[in-house]
Amino acid sequence: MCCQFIYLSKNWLFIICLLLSSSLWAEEKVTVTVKANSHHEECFYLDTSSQVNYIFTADKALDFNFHYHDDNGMNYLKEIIQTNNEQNSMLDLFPKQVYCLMWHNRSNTPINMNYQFSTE
Amino acid sequence: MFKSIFWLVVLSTLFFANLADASLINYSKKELADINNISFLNDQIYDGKYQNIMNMVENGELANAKLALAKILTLSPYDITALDISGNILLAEGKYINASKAFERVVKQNKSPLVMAKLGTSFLLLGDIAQGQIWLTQAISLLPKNKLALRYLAWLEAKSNNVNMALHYIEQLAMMEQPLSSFREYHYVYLSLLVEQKKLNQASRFIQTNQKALNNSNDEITIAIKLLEIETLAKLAQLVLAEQKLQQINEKKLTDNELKIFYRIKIFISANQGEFKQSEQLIKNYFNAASDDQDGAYYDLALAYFNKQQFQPSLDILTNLLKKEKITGKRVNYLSDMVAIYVAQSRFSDAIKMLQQQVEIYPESPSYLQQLAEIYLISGRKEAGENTLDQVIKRFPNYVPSYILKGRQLLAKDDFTQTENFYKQATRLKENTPELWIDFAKLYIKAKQIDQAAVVLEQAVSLNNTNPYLVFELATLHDLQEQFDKSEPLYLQILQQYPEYLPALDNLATNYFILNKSLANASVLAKRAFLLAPTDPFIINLRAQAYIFEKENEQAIKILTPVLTSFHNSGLGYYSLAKAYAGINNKQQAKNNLTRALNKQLPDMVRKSAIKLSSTL
Repeated sequence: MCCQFIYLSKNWLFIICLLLSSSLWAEEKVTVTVKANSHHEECFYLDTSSQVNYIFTADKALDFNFHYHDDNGMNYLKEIIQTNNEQNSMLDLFPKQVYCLMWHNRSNTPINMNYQFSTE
Repeated sequence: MFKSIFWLVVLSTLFFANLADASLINYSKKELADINNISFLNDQIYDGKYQNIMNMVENGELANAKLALAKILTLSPYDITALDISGNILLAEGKYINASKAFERVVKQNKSPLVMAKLGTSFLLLGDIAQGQIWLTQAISLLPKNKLALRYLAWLEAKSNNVNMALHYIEQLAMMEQPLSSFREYHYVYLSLLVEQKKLNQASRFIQTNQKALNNSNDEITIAIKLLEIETLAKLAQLVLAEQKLQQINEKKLTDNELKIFYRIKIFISANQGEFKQSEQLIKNYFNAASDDQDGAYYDLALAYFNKQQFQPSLDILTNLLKKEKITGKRVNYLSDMVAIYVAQSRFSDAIKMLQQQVEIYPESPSYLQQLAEIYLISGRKEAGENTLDQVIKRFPNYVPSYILKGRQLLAKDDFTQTENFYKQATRLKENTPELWIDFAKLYIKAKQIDQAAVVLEQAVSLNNTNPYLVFELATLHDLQEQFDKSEPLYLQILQQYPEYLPALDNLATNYFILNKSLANASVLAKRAFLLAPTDPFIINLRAQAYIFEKENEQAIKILTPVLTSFHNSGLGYYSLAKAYAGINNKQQAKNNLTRALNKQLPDMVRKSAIKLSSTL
């Protein structure tokens, strides 16, 4: 897990997490620009793991979801409308499955974003 | 009309494009130097006593044939027919040096294209490619339907990995006799090349049209064609029919090599029917572990999984193949396929990890680091991508793809000065890389500095004056500026060197017709273009204009009418049709088609001509 935290104000919480993230996140820190009216997706295969930890921060609000695909199409495990940041751990996931983090930029300008994820 | 190849895709990802194209069947080349094959292809007819000697040769009575020739040559040492036949025998015996000398003596006295083809063939078999090509090309220019020259030119092109040209020559040979009385080695090669080029419908039609010929063909060719037919059906997704035809083949009568092909096809069918477990069992049962055939069959299975969107098993197979593979080229291909699968699923992080591992294992190979840079860029990791790309250029300054990619990244950024500086430096370092010059010109075109783009391409052409792509780009740029007097010699220069270069044939013929200039030449070019691309609507339009020029307006109407909808927004087809109707004085039809043409897009000069024609009706 990236960070255990107590409820402070939302901004404080975010800062604490970011401070912790540099030491706790061994995975690649990704910096991308999400084009206007476009989306960015990052998927990964869970072989034997059942937990995904993720954190992201963006310079403007965008829509976020965590999903997987199967024969029924896309299955959303988490959806947040218009947020600048989010940190979470998704637990009890089925292994042998591809899961995806996805961001939609519904604005007319590009959005810069950082994210990291890890599996356990 | 073909236009420039500018605006290439910045990053293209190929899906199973590297290995999947090849036919399952590797055709034998042994017949190429077979005297019966050479005699058959040569079409030479000898008189009386000479034909008797040739009959001896063809029946394998070489000693008797030599004796008879010796008698003739003792009496008449300059008897060119006897020399010619002695050349045939020497060729049959594999004595290519002596054969070439004999044919050379004949050619000095008699410029026979049939003997020239044999001389060229002898040189090729000797490994003297340049001389071989000269004589074969000369033979074909004197006698276009020269079977032997066509066969060996195809062979030469295939050896040079120029599959398109190989197919072009062998197609002419294969199509000389339709329907066939029997299949021969070159029909088989023709079909293999069609399958390799994914022209599956064409291959299937050819076999279908000539089904009866299978009964008169030798056993080896018959079974090879039947297996190719089944492979073609399977690749056309006609799996049930392919399976039925495969069941009709008696396995017990197959040679070891044919049996391998048989099982490769069986596995291909089963995998594409979604019978993955069964396919894997077949692979294990019928192929030795770690053999090329087993790897090929597993590759087909990986492709079948991929096509059914079962990405993980596809990746697992490719991972195993990659682990075992020692040949760098194949490793790079497997990796490209794996990257493609990751990209199809947005699994960028997994792709990056895999490529990072390869970079660690093979630090001296630029291609893995380049692929890593590409995946960073594809996945939006711009900074990492640019840094890695700079690293490739720094560590491997001779690796050209990194310069091309770097330039295209800069082009996309819209930083004119930085991009211009990069290309100035890159083209100085890699002056023989056409892509860099073309992209450099693209920078100026984007900035609307067309004259400067022309300067760049002129410099490129002066440094690479035999490169048809660069010359073609410069010619199209002149067309863009309506400087047709400048583009004409460039197109002619390309066509002198590559008479079959379709885009040049197309553009030059189009220019002549538009300018109403050199129409006789335009007609010749149009006919050549039509031979190369008989189904392309714009080439059909060129052919129609040649018909109109030759006052065969009915023919123009006949070939244009069925393809009019294929011109989409272009009014060129309707305009030519209007001209053809005007040519037969059918004013109403001419008017109707002219109206349709004018309502669609037409190049300015054509529009002016159309309006002028309209006023005369």
